[in-house]
Amino acid sequence: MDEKSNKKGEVSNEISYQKIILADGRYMIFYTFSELAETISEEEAADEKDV
Amino acid sequence: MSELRFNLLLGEWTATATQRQDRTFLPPPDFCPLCPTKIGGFPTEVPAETYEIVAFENRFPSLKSLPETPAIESSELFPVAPSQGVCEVILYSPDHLTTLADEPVEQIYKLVKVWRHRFEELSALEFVRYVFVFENKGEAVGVTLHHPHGQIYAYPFVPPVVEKELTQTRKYKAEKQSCLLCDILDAEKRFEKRIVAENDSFIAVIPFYARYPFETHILSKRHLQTFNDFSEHEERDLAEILKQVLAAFDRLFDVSFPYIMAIHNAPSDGGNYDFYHFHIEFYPPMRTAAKLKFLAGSEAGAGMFINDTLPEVKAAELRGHIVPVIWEMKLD
Repeated sequence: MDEKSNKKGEVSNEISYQKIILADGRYMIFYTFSELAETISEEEAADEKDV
Repeated sequence: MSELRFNLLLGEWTATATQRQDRTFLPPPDFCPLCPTKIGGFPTEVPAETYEIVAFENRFPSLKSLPETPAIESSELFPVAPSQGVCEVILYSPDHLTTLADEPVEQIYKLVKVWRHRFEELSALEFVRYVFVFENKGEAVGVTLHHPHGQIYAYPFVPPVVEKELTQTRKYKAEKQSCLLCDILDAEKRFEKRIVAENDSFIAVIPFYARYPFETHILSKRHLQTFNDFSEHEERDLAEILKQVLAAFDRLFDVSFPYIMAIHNAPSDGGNYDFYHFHIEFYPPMRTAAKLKFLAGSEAGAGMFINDTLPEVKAAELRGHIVPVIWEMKLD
């Protein structure tokens, strides 16, 4: 893998990704979801309040 | 070599992709190219010890962002074009033995978010006209790698099945000033017998016009065109109804149920498709526990499907296997 071509980004505040370039030139994107649990929990709480 | 050849008789493109003849074919689990690369293990396609969800360009693509020049010249009768596009693979899990049906709903929710991101990114490419998200599951539909994964093809044209749907929905809108799938959804709700599952945002039915015994369609209740229109709540509801339908498929015959999953968004060519309606179609080849539905003479040669079953009956069977989804909320 070409470390120089690494690119990090965020889809939203709950999803981030790292894009790397493989030796043959193809890209590969690793998605991580570290804050998703918190987001869902907050939404659940909001839904419960609505009810 | 890879190129697009136009069929003037049908008005359709075919991709030739001779390099795909050499792609990995049903390797033993220890040599799965889609598993993470373990320390001391053989190097797979994924240079990481684990992952959550990964998207990458297919090693054996039929469409490429920088395609080679076609080997033959285009002519009036035999139009040829470079096979420009993108073919991506989406790995659902590092676990070789799982399936989308077996994954917790939280993982399917993550996948919905990845689908949306990939849809947005690929739609933005200048040469892309249509982004098709799909999954082939099971050897019965031609799968060559069992690791749980789906695919995305970003085409340089709108593919014929979607083009047909556009023609029909555009025509219906012009005649009735209404959305065809919104009206079908309302009618299926009133009829009830073909409904498989339902939540706030989606309904799953074996439609009136199903061609396969367990052909199941998931329709958004709101008139949405693409993933871009989804609310957060709709993303969660889509994950939930997918989990319900996929798990019910597996319970039908107590097997890991094969299917083709086709996600139909509106085209990404910048046009106005407000008459189109987002939906997902499943084409499962199993018609009983021991029999497959094949595309034979009438289906393949004439385009008319013959369904040996009634959607109303099969919907009741599948509905009997729907169970509530439990969100564990522990995603880390």
